[in-house]
Amino acid sequence: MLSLKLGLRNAGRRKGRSALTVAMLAFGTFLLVFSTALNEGPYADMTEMATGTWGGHLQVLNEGYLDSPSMYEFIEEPLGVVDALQARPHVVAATARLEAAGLLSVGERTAGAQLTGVMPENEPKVSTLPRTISQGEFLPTGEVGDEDPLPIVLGDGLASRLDAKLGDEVVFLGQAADGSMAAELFTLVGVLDSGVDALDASMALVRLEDAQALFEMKDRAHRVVVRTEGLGHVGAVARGFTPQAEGAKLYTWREINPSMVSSIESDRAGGFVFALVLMFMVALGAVNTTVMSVFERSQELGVMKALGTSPGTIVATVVWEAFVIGLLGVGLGALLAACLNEYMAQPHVGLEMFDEPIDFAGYQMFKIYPKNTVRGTIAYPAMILAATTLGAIWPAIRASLLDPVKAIRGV
Amino acid sequence: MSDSKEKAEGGAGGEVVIEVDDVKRHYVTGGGTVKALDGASLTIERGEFLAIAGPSGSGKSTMLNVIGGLDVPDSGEVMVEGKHLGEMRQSQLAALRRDRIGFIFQAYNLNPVLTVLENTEYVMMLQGKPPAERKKLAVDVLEEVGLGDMLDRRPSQLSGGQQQRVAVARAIAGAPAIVLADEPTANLDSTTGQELLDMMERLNRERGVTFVFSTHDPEVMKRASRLIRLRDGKIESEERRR
Repeated sequence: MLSLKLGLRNAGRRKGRSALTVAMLAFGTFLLVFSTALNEGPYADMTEMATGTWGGHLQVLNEGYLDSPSMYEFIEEPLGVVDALQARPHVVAATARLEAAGLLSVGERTAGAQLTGVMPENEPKVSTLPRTISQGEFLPTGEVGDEDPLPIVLGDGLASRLDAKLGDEVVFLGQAADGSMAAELFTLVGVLDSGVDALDASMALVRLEDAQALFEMKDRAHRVVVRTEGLGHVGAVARGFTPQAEGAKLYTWREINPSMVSSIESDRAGGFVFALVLMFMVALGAVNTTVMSVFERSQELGVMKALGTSPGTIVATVVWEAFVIGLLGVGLGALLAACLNEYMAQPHVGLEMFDEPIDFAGYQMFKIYPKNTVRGTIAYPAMILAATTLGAIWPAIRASLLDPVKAIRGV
Repeated sequence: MSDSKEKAEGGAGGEVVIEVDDVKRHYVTGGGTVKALDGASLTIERGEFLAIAGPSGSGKSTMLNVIGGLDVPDSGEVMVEGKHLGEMRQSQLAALRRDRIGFIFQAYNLNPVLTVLENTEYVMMLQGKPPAERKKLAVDVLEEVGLGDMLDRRPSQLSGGQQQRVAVARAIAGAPAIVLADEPTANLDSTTGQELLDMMERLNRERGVTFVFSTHDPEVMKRASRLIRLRDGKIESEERRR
């Protein structure tokens, strides 16, 4: 194609100027991709913390439970829901939980706690919490004899407040679903440190069947939590699934964590404004180069017209030249930034910007790990390239409208 | 001599290829109105080797520009191969120049990013000729103008005379009916100019291409089959030389 050949050759004609333009585009794109990755990294970490640590990718709840987490907003036959979900493609595992608040006492000390009944065999496949045991062990799987003490695991914040040690007796006091007093004696088998202070300060885990017995809630639970093969599969798993339990509804992690999602979205919107400003400035610089290039080559363009070159071919020649320079600059910048992001995303690298952990939407991070995303590493550079290329259309059209006589004379 | 006379009277059969009828082209400049063409009329027949001479500002280049459809007359008519240029759209004029008219400029005006071969192929690329065909035609023409061993050179690697040869090759490679040459020897020394004229005479004779020159060069005037003299935008005289 003639216009492509001319565009390519013209791009390499003024090597110094083209190199400067490429460098400017590369620098701008690098900044944009890297800064976006610095934002996207924490977003991904927060999402991972919210979904991986405890919340899962999907949850089945009674419709009223999300807004008003009352003991009576439960799901009937939760194990049927667990089995149905585990049978779906892209589901790693599902687990049921029963939740109730109450008081825990160890010796003289008492503290409020969120007691959660979990399925010890399924929970480690759904959440990372069981892997954060810092002392002792997680809840045992299998049968526990009638005479054996009932096991309980506490968050390290709660254990510290209760001054509880492994093997200590822990008394729970609360209210059962039938209005009676729920009281039980547990034995501390493990302490966990999830890294999320809010969880560790109030979390107490017992086996689901123990919790169901304690609260008079046989064959009932409050949540069925699902882990999929990744966030990208959430939609596919959720599509077309209706829980076969009265009043139950499937929620995605976004619906479960609206405040975190909205914090991320508003922060991302701010980042997008910054990205637009940067894109505009970078593209403007590149368009200026195209304008200069066309201006300098007026005579040559006039000759092209005189020889019978169509206006479309002249437009295409100028636009190809801008595209080639844009592709080089944007490609180089995006590639360098993407490589740096990948390097810094390694667990032992990261970016430590402050002495104190960074707090965002209730989550604390000690390091920022940049993350390449389709938006930041591909879409934004593509937008710069598009702006650079589209910005060349105006000078290209002017070039195609040149009066060949005046242009050849250099008037 | 009789052969030349036949050309002067009608080239290869007296067919009129260019007709300029009472053309006026005035420019408004800071110093007033310049009458580049002021009622000039001219008929050119196929196969002529015609020179338009005159002092600077007499309207020579403007005459070539209106014949080539690059400039639009204020009044009068220009016809090329029977087509009224005034009735054609810009795209049709571009197609006419691409297919029927070759241009040679005083400053050569080769495309600096294209090689000798590519510059020669340029018009044929616009015409949409297949690559193999246009390459063969371009190589043939370049060999004809003595540049067969410089196909891959860039214009900046050539002398002025060589560049003008490439310009001639570019002008004729697309098989135009007419070549318009604006002072083609002005930037060349006399020996190179003579060689270029020899070459263009040969192409005129062998290919039957009509050449129309604007010139100050006495050598071009001497070789022209017909010499038109312009002064103040009017045809001052017409002289059949051969």
